[in-house]
Amino acid sequence: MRNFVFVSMLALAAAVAVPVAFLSGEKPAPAADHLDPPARTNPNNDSTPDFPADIADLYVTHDDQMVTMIVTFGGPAATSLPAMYDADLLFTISVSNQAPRTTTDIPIVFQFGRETGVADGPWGVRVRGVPGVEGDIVGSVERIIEKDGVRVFAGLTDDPFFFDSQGLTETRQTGTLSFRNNRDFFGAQNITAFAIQIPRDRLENGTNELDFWTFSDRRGGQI
Amino acid sequence: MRRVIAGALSLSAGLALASCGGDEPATVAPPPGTAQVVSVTPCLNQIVPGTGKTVVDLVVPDTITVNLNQASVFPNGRRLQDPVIDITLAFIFLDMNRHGPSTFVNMPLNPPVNDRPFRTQFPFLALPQGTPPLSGSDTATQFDFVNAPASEYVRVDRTGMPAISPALIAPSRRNEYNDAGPGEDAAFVFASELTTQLQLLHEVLVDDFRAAGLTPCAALR
Repeated sequence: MRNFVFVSMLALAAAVAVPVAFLSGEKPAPAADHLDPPARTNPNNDSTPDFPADIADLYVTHDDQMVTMIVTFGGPAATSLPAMYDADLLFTISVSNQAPRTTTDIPIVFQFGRETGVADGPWGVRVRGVPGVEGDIVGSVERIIEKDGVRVFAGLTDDPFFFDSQGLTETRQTGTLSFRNNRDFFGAQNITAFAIQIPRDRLENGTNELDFWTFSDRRGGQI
Repeated sequence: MRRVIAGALSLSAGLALASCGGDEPATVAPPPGTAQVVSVTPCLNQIVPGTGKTVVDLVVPDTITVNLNQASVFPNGRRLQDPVIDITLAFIFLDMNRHGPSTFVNMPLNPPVNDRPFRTQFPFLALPQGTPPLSGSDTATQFDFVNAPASEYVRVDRTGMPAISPALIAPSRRNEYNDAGPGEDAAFVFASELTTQLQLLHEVLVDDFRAAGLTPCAALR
């Protein structure tokens, strides 16, 4: 019975995979938001894909004291590749803490730049608009930066997303059931990320729910 | 208000199959079961157990919503370890009066955990794999950041809830979707996209759900 259910679920999974892939028309099956929008970030749809601006995932967690937001972008990438910092990009996390929930009340902006006066020098990150922080938060990537009760990190990490994206692609290409729960397309791959941890009383507004979304903007237009 | 939304979604679902743009792939031959699906509106309007919200409430606008007085677990926020695809597949495809949001997680359909354990302290993400070149410094304190007016920047990408754009927006409208924001979402500018893609998926899958002993949420003929 267990085998029957498992086989049925595999069939179901494959069936889920096929239409998504067929309908999307994309060769590498996207997952959370990797390679989306395809006309700007997917090499199968764009001859100049903007990998550094390609947001993959947004995570938001909280506990009694803090809210943590994490954004991954520029991946998944082979483990031999460096992080995807680009000085001409802005990444914004928008937070809405009052009606209407569709407008930004707190914009937190992340930006990257190289060490002053050093050609191809180490990268730094600047964070603007953090409530309760005087001025900007600035520091080296791949280090934890702390200021006024806020923590920031930017750097190369393991890609935290897990999903059998390969199964979607193979099933679409072959018509053979190939969706597996023991195959993680994002396993053994890295991604660039930034994270910020803020005392929750700087975001909360009474008992209002909070809404979070993120976006990337490139200076001078899309590449 | 919800009735208006449901009506708009139902109407758009009936019309949107013909609205795909020029870069849409060739239509897949309708599989068995196509004629059985009348509407996915019941899916969009069903309450997701444990949230007090409808599916529409969860995916429109495309944001991650957090009630800080409730436990941090998807879809109230999103933790690194949350199996968000299996949870989302359950509440957009299955009748939540008969099946829980964890139905697919309990199988599981997809890998249930990340291949590397997450760190227990900030920033929580696992360390990079392999030996990639790193870019940080313990001594650098001054950096050159571009200080350009907002008018010089152009949108590339946006995201909120996982997989909404890749799964439920046709490729022909992805640029428009990513250029928009929660305001457009809430105005149901993309309602036809959401219902069209969801209905197409249901049409293909309804027999598979039933064969697996699961009850789809779509209205069937």
